[in-house]
Amino acid sequence: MVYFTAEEKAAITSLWGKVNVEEAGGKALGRLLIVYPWTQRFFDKFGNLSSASAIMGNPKIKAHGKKVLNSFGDAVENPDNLKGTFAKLSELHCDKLLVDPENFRLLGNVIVIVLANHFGKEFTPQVQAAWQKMVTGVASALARKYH
Amino acid sequence: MVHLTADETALVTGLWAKVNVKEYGGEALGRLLVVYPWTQRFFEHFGDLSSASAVMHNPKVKAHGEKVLASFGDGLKHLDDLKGAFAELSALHCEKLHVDPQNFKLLGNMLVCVLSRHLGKEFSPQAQAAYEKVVAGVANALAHKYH
Repeated sequence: MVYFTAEEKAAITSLWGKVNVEEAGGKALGRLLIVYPWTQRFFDKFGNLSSASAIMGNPKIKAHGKKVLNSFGDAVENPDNLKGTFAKLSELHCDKLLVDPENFRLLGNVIVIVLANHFGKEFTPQVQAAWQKMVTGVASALARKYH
Repeated sequence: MVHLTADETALVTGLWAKVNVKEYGGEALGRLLVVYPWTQRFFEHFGDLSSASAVMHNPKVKAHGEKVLASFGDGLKHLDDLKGAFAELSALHCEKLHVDPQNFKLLGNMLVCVLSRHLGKEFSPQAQAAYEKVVAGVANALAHKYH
């Protein structure tokens, strides 16, 4: 189980309050597909993924990125119960979506990079450490129901 | 061995010219120690690492970070033969320094975060993809002489 100090929770929620989920979600998912091209296999039905700019401009990618990052918002609200919060999504990703859980770690890292990119100075080492814990915790929670 | 297209190589070297090796090196190493605290075990003799701000301001961490990033920069001149370029450092990290090679990947991630933070818009998805290839290549090269 992941343990967050009071300061870490504060750092996470304070930054989250300033995140444009639609924009950041689309960017994070787009970057995942560009930086780790094998992840495109999960989005074969999304249309044009033929170049970096096609991916970043793809409306289905943007919409799905927003959906994924919105669900991250549940993690921000329930940091002490990530496993419970993501139990259903974990089963879904294992049983229906057939996603290798390593990809959750990759997406988590990309989210951290997108936050760093956007927030610059505000993304202090302490804020980064708190968010790294969060994305790692979410990745573990999403992998938990795998069998 | 890392295979970069001509565009990727141009992106990597173009952005590298804007990197302040001293500043970013210290920051990357400092962030590694803050975000992944177990890595502090390699730097116990560096003095005060008792808090995030102590780590980030520690002159030995800054100096060593600069040294590490300078050597990374040298590696960029040998993208066709990273294993050769880092052979001696690989042997050193295995035989003398006893560093788990997983840590090279963590530091590589940290470097990508620092670049993202400083370069903002210029750190495009394509630039990120190119740099992630390079840091993976350097991490592999540093692990190559392990036995």
